[in-house]
Amino acid sequence: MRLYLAITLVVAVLYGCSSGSESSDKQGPAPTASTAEPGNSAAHSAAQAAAEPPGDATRGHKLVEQYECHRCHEGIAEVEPIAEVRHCTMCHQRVMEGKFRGKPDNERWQKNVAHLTAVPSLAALGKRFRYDWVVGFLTNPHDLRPALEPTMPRLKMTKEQARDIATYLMEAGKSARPRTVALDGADVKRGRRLMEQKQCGTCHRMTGVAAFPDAPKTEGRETRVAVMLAPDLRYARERLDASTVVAWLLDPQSMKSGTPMPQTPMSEAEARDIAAYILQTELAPPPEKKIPELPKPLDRDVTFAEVAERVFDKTCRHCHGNPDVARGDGGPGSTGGFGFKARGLQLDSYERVQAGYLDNAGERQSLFSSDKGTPHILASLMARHAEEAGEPNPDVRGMPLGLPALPIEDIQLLVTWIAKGRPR
Amino acid sequence: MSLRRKALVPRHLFAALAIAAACAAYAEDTDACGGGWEMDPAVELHYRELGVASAEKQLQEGRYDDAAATVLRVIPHVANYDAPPGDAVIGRAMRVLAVSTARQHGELDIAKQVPDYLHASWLGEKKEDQTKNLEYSVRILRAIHKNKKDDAVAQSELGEALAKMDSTREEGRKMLEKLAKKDLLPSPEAYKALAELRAAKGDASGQKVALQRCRAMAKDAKICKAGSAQS
Repeated sequence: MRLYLAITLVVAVLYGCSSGSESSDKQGPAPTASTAEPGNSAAHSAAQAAAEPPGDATRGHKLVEQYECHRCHEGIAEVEPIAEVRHCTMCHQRVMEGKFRGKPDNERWQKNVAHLTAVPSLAALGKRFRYDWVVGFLTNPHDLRPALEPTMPRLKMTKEQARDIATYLMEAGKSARPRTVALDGADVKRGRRLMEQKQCGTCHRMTGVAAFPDAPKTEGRETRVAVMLAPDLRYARERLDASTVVAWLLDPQSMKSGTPMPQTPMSEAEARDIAAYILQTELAPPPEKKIPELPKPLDRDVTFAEVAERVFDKTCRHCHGNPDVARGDGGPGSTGGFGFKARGLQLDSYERVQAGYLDNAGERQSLFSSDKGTPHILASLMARHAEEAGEPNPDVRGMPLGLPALPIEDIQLLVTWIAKGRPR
Repeated sequence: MSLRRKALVPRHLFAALAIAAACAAYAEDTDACGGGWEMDPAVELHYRELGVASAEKQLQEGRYDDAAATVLRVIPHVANYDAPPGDAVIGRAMRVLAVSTARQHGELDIAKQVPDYLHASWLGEKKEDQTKNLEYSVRILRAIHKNKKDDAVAQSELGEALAKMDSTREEGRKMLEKLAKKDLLPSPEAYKALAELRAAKGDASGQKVALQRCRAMAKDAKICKAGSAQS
């Protein structure tokens, strides 16, 4: 599954690069060893100007609150703190620690909320990332961290809004970018050997190159925060410049306070070799990921209880809840949130699943009305598979938002239940 | 014997005082009796919340008398409200009572489950009691619908209740027809009500379609038969 996701991401990124901004074409796909990297804020700003136009930080600040970035991410400056019950990460962490509410609830919820317990902090973003990449990632997010189940959700965000948000977020740490380091004379092959010696593969994967020894297990749900948050190094060349990679390697805490990335003893020359490998080694093209077809109905009856257990209760109802039983907040897919307006879609009971959602005009529509021949609910679930394959559907947002696509077997249950007349 | 009794009295008194003191100390951390009663982190759910959740489950299972009885036991004063108050739990309880009453045609078989002093008109032993109960259902479900104009469940449940009374039957039919047209009727009970309304209008083919949907959706097709109130 993770390999599948990783492959998906690669396709997504390639798609993003090819269809995203003009800047990608102008700037080229990756920095080279001999490039004098933008090591100070002035140079970096110049690089920004040459690619994506800068946004408006004041508007970006408002948009960060509108899209509720701080419901999941820490490290955003000057935003109103969010209540614990609305803070995804804090709430999930408390549930997993058994401290959120009474024991029965915690035990019940622990089965389904194990994700979103670790989310990357956005602190000092301006010190670490390429502006263009942040803009591209906001508008076309993809799975960046192979061991982390959730991904950045695909929000309803325009390119202009993404620029504003990126500009605002990158104000933090912008003036403290690491000193310029060039990779002249760095040895890519030695970089690879050093990465193996220093066991970078304990946490990181790098799709498109031979797997590192000591690679993290791919079976089961990962619970180690360092592994969960470790990005796939394939994308480093899009996200970081050589100076930041070297700075990360030499002193991770100076780049991001509190990062689980360990301080590994190494010389600057070694760090430059590793950076050269990460940023310059040839990457194999990702295997093509096929979008599965909508499955045919099963030859047996399927009750609502079965569908609820495998689909609605397990995944959907957390964002599509009933505000009357959730202290007024039915979740972003019900009462609104993450920049989405209230859709009134509640998937917490048989009746409410039948009762549909509010469309853009505020008219209630059935989830089972056909969308180009496919019931709307199934179109959304299949769209998530397409998103994972790097082919987002501009007309249909994939569900579950920011979580792995449902297994086809679970979608097949829903297909069958619908075909059988949606029995209680 | 008398000596022993004398010895027991102070002990009981002592125990009672100790319990009262403990309760008083405990209550300092709570917002008891109608409030949140949140004792973070160990106990947060109020018995009312649990009771209403249980009543909602009974309603979903078609156990309308049980659902109504649970609500009356857990929140005895629920019938005093004319519209759902701000408290969401009481609002949910009122919905369960109103829907259950409508589906039982204003006649709740709850005598064995609810103390006599709470029976009021709920048993629906007389025709006027049944009417009074149905009027309660309509009043409450109308108030819920007023607060949730775009909620198909609230609309459908009001439609069902309206369909139970001569004076409001046509209004209920229109409401249910509108939802059915968009495939938004949320329950087999709603389709059953629609089938009956269509039959009363002489729309045999429409009745057949509604009954087909009722049977496809129902756990037990028996509830789709005319006159079957409780499954």
